[in-house]
Amino acid sequence: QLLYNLLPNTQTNAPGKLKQFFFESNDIGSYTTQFLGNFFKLWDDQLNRQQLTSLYQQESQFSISIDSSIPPASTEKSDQHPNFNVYNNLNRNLNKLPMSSSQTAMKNRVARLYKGNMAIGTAFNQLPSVKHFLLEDPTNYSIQNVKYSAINGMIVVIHGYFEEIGDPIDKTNMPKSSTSSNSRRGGRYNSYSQGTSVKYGKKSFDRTLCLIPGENGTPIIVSDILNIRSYVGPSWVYESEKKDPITPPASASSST
Amino acid sequence: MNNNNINVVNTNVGVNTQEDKNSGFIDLCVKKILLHLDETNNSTKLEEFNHFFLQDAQTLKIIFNTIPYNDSVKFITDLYSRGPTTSHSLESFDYHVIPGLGHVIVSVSCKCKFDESGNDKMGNNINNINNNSSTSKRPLYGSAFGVSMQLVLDGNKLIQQQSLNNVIMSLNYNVVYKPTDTLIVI
Repeated sequence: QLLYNLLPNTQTNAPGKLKQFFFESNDIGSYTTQFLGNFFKLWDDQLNRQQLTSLYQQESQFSISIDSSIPPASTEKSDQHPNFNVYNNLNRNLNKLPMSSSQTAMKNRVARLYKGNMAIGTAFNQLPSVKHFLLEDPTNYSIQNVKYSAINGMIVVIHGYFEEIGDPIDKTNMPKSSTSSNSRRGGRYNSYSQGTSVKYGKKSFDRTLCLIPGENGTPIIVSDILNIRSYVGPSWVYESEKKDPITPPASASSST
Repeated sequence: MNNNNINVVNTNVGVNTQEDKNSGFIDLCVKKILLHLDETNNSTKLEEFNHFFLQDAQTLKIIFNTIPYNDSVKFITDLYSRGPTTSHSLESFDYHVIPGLGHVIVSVSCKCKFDESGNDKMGNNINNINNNSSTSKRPLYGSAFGVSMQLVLDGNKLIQQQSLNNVIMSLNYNVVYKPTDTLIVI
């Protein structure tokens, strides 16, 4: 039953759909997809990830925020037991870092904002080895891109997922290992605590990049905010709606 | 008439660094925007929300579920005339201040629940199934959708002038996941 469609076509009032891409103009669209393809190719190669720091300058900023909330169980492919421990000491989610004058809170708010390509490179090495699937599974990535005329640049937002493969090169910020399997559910803000154990898997992410033109056509990344959340099937993929959730297909008859 | 001056005195007790001051203003601004997105048909509040946006069609960029707007009145009109009451809950946010410009790029992750009782924001039944005025107008929220929102804010106005007027230069709002046990189609 269609109760309400949030995206009706304003011309025909027919049900609309979320688009996978929004580009303010076609020229920046092709530029953006090419840039992101190259960016994540280097990002996924942990030994070459440092090459990306050449895109950042002394005033550039990078930070990570973790949305540790659990998606509803009814959401397709959702991970109901995500583990974010490897990011604990990098997480700058300002909704959770308390707005207090305590030295620890203030220190974390400042220290987890990485400024300049040296500091950003250090942070990159503290992130696990991952793989994005832009080439293999492009429908699961969505991009929005708008021009940012005040600095003759653009803001690029990409939503998608990656798979964590292995430990970071620099493990100094990883949680100290614990032998106890202290897993419990129902922490503060619907968080999911798994002690200090690190477990890798798929994660969804939203990455916001602010680009300005640099020399020789190479862009400069002024700002890079990476939001990581529990893995979940994307909203802009509509294939599942073709299936009838009530009537199973004839070929899928149950056999015991 | 608008009265969007910020009072962060009560939310920033003991704050003594510029970083904390910025965080307090941006935290308040993000939460106010989410509250306004959940607003029902209150003309005063809608007008107040309109004042949040930069009134310059050449500069203002609003992308709402991949639909572009450069007119905040049109955006707010569409927002309130379409769809049921919503309830946003903030899960995470982070921001960077662009040096030299003072603009602030904010990345927000939140959940959004929709009223699935069949009523729109004005309390009218969407499908005209039941026009009984005695029917409860209390929202019946369904499962949460995931929302990712990016903002470009004018930090000079927000932080220096402590005003929420004309601070939103860009707003990109997208539903990033959807539950299957919902009556809402997106």
